[in-house]
Order: sequence, then C-alpha cells, then structure tokens
Amino acid sequence: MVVNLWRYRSFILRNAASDIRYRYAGSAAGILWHVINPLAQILIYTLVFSQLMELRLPGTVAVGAFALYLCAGILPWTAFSDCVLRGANAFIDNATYLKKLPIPEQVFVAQSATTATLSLGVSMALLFVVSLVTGGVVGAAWLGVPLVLVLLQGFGFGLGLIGSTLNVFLRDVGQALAIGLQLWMWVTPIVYVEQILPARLQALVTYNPAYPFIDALHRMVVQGAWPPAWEWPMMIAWAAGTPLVGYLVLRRLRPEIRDAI
Amino acid sequence: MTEVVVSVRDLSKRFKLYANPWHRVVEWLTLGRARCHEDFWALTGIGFEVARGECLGIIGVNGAGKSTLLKILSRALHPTGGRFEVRGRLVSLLELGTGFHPELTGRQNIFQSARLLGFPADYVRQRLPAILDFAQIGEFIDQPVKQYSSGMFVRLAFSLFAHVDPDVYIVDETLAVGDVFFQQKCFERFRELRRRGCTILFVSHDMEAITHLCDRAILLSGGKLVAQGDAATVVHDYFALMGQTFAPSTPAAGFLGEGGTGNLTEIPPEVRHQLQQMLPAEAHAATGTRTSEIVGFAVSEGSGRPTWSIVSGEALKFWYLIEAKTAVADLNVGIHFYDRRGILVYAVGSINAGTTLPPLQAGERILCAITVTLAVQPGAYTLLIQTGGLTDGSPEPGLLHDRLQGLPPLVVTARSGPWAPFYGLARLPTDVAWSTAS
Repeated sequence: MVVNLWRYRSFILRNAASDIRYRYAGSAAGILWHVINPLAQILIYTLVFSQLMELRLPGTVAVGAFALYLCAGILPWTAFSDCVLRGANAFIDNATYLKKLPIPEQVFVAQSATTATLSLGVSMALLFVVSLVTGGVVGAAWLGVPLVLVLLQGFGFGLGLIGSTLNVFLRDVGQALAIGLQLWMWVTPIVYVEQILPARLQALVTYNPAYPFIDALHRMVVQGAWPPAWEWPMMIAWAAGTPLVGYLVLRRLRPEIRDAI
Repeated sequence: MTEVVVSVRDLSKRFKLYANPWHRVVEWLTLGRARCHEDFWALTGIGFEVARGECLGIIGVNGAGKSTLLKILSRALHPTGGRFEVRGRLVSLLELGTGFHPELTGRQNIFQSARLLGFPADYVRQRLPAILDFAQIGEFIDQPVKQYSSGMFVRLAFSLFAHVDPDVYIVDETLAVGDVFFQQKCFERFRELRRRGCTILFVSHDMEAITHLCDRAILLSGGKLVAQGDAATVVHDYFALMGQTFAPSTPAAGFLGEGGTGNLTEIPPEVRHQLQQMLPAEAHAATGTRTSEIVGFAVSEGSGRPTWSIVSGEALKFWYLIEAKTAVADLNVGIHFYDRRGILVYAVGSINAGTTLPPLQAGERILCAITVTLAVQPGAYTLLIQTGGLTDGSPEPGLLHDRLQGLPPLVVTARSGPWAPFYGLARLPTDVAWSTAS
C-alpha cells in the first residue's frame, strides 16, 4: 500500500492542491476563502466567548483562553471529520476513475486526507498568529502541534479507508459515519472542558481514541505545555493501526470493489 | 518468431449479483456459508494471443463481454479466474477524457491525464506542440475545459491519446469523433500507429472498419470466445450469429398454396428455408391491427444467398411472406431504412412503387419481394418492415397492419477503389456529359 501511495504521490498532491484551489472556484476571492473561513471562525469564537459570554477557562484569567481552547479542538476535529467522511466517499465519488483506470484504490482516500490536512495546516497557522496577537501562551510546545495533527489525520485516513471500502458495498456506512462522528465529537471534550464532567465520566473519557489527540493539542496550544508521555504511544498506535486495518479490509475486498461501484 | 505482447489464458470474470446490499453483509457475517447471490459469468474461458504490431479486432453484440474483457486488460477490473499478460504500457481509449477535470484548463488537463496514464510531464511537454496542433483548440487551450464544446473536449482528449506511445493500444469506437475532417485525421493517425508497429486491440460494431484495419479478429458471444481467425472470416461468423439470434429454428406450418398468380416465380431454396422459420412473437410490434401478418421474412443478395450485408451500390431483395387474417383489398408492403443517427434515409411501399397487389381472402398468403439498390453511404442501417392498408374500411388512411422490430442492422460496406462512387447520404441518379469542341 505504501509503495503505491508513494508512486502516486505527485497525483495525490496535485489533486489535493487542485481540490483546494477549486473548492471555491467561481467566487471572486477564490483561494482566499481558505484563509477567510477559518479566520472568521476563530474571530467569532474569540468575540463570542471572551467578550460577550465572558467564559473563562478554569484556572486561567486570560480573556482569549477559552476561545483558544475551543479553536485548538474544533479546527483539528473539523479536519479529522472531513478526512473520515470525504475518505469514506472517496471511492464512490471517484467511481469514473476506478471503473476505467488501473489506479490503486487507496490513492483517492489519501487524496481527500491530504486535502483536509492542507486546509487544516492553513487554519492552524492562522490560529498560531491569532494566539500571538492576542497574547496567548506561545511556547516551544507549539512545535509539537504539526506532529499531533499529522498523527490525527493518519488516524482519519485509516478510518476513511475502512469506511470507503465498506461504503462501496453498503452505502448506509457513509450516512451512519456522519452521525457517528457528530456523537463522537460531543463525547470528546472539545466544546466543553472535561472538568465539568462528573468524576465518573472523567475517568471514562480518556478511553476515547480521540482523547489523546485533542488533549495533547489543548495542552500545547492553550497551556504551552507538552502532553503527558502516555499520550504519544496511544496516538502513534491509532495513527498506524487504523490504516493497517483499512489496508487489510481493502485487500480482502479489492477484487469486488470495482464490480460493485 | 514473433513476440507475443498480449496473452490471455482461460480468463473468466464473474459478477456477483445481490438482490439487496444487506445480503452481502449476511455472507460476510456467516463467512460465506450462507449464499445470497447469483453468479453472472460475463466471461468464461477466454484465450487468445496478440503478437507485436498486430491489430486484433474484437467483435460481438452488446453484452457479449467486450467491455469486461477490455477493462480486465487495462487492469480496471480484476478477473475471477485465468491469467493474462500485457507486455509494456497499455493505453485504452475507453478512458478518453476520464481524467479531465472541468475546472482545469485544457493544457493542465493534458498533463493531468498523462500523469494518470503513467506518462511523465517531460514526455508530454515534448509532444505538446503536436497535441495542440492536432486538437485545433486554438486559444481555448488555456480556458477551463468546462467551457469547451463537447466536440472540442473529445478532440483534445483524442489528441492526447493519439500522441502518447504505448506498446498496446485499446481503441474503442470513439475513433468516430468530431467532424469528418477530424475523423479522417484520426484514421490517418491510426494507420500511422500501425505502420510504427504499435499493437492494437480494436473494438467496433463497424464491420467495415474491422475488415479493413485488422489482421485478425475474435468474436465474443455470451461471454465466450466463439470464433477467432482472419478478420473477414470472423466478420462473416458475426453476421451468421446475428442471423441466428433473429431466426429461431421452428419451421412454420405451411408455405404458399398451389396454383397462385403473380410474376415472382423463382424462390431460391435458402430464401424459402428462411421464410419458413417462424418469427418469434416479440418480433411483432404491439401496434398494428394484424389485419395482415408478416409470417416470414428474409433478405438475400443477387445470387439468392441470404445476407445482412451488402456492398454499397448493389441490390438486396427483401422477401415478405404475408398472411391475411381477414379479407384485405388494398395491401401495401413497405420498408424503411434509418441510418445510425436515426435519420430516415429511404422509405417505400408497394403502392408507392406502382405495384397493386391482389386482394386477399382471409387465411390467404402472398409472397412479395422488394428489390432495393442500396446506393447509400457505407454504415449500419436499421430496417422497419411493415404491412398496411389504405383504408381498411375505416376513415383514416394508411392503416398499419403489422410491423417487425428488433431486426439485426443491415450493414452496407464500401466499394474498394481509390474513389468513392459518391459522397453523402445516398447516390442520386447522376449523369455527366462533356464535349471538347462544338
């Protein structure tokens, strides 16, 4: 699988780049929307939570801290969910190619994952700038952010790969995934802080596969601290394990994918 | 010894048909112990070889398995059984324009598609002038292809395909794209590729093109390889097969009665045999009063041999065996020719032709032959074979009695020679006079 992805790397990158370039095709601002959209999102959160609702993160006094917390979780989650959902539809959306060209299937999932990751890169860079400007805690720990994001997207790619293979045979999978991801977001401390949960649930929440990723991001972006050591092997395991499972599922069903699509 | 470039051995392809997508899940959960699908064998036991520089025609009616075979060869489908090997790079015209992104410009799309086919950017850059010159897109090349007319789109796609240099080409009927000038350029390019020793698999329903362009051909029917050999022989087998699907082999009860009248005295034995084959019920269109019914139909060439193909400019005889169900006073026997675009090229009836057929009593039969000189351009024509009456006692004129449908196409091939006898849909009676001095 890796060999094939490497062989098609230029195709994946160029297609991801043109996905980004043409998502807003026809609009006057064009590619600028990739900056405007996340920027507006960040600014709205900052304004609403720090100025209007005056929410404070427990243990901090900084006005922008809650907005920063929210953005540090919600921007990567949006990209992750994009990665899974678009990935799950990748085979169906690219049916015309699959039916006619000998391109390895996983290339299309990788393409949608790359697209989601590229636009995540843009929005996180903006978050970094906003954090600098509004006086957030910007430390060396920010250096770890790209690594966590890549691991998160690797996890998303794996889920997308499993989803896309099953989705070819059972279109309900794509729909179910969309609902599942919504639910998943709400059981992950993204729009709330885990301290508000009852103690019993607080212990459970760490078993959520997405938890180490989101918690690590929170620590690095909001507190400028490195994540606890146990989170790294967890993240690496999910980021490596799901693509492997995805590959095994794909390999098993590969001969029939192009028949059923 | 010639080098084999494409070899296919005992190739088969099964599609699993599920009535409901959940049935597949049931099979997964029971690890295949519960069987919830039906097998459809699109190909079984296909085997052939193609040598370098050879042009192989692949023919068969729709659904014979041609596309499945080509998709397997271009590795877009996985075979269920058997083996195949393609030496070198294969490019298929089935993929024409597949990789085109509507938002990208023509130029960007050329590079993108080439990348999809596995050709590096440098390779395309070298050939870009030739591609652009061939496609004749002009300044539009730097516009997004969504703004192209469909003709421009196909021209661009074809130009790219025509200028890459694969070891094996799969050419589909897409060769017939664009206006007549572009088509001529395409055929010229095709011949050039052949001269250069490119191996070609050519799929077409145009038997004329198959016989002229291919060295050998294979005939598929129902997923099986039923004939292979030199192109002309296999094309003949194809027509034989088409005739078979039309004429089932149940002999009809009787023929004409004794002591009849009329000027049709000579009935070739093969035509007689064909006319005695019962037409399947679904051959009769649902419309029509069935006041008279076509009970037998045959087409023959001048020698009396039944056929469905003819050289342009020669005559065919269309034989109708008609039975009157009730008394018919003013029978009209007609034939329509439509070309592949559905344009009515010619229609005529016995009444138009100035022949008055005798009145028929109920149960009486008549054999009628219409001879038409097919001075039309080469190609496939569909026929409409019908009987009717002028009034049938009711006020509206031109009543339809019976019409045959689902007839195989009539194929008109070109006369060989440096000059076509005419250009256009059909030859009109023409006379050229001259003198050098008064």
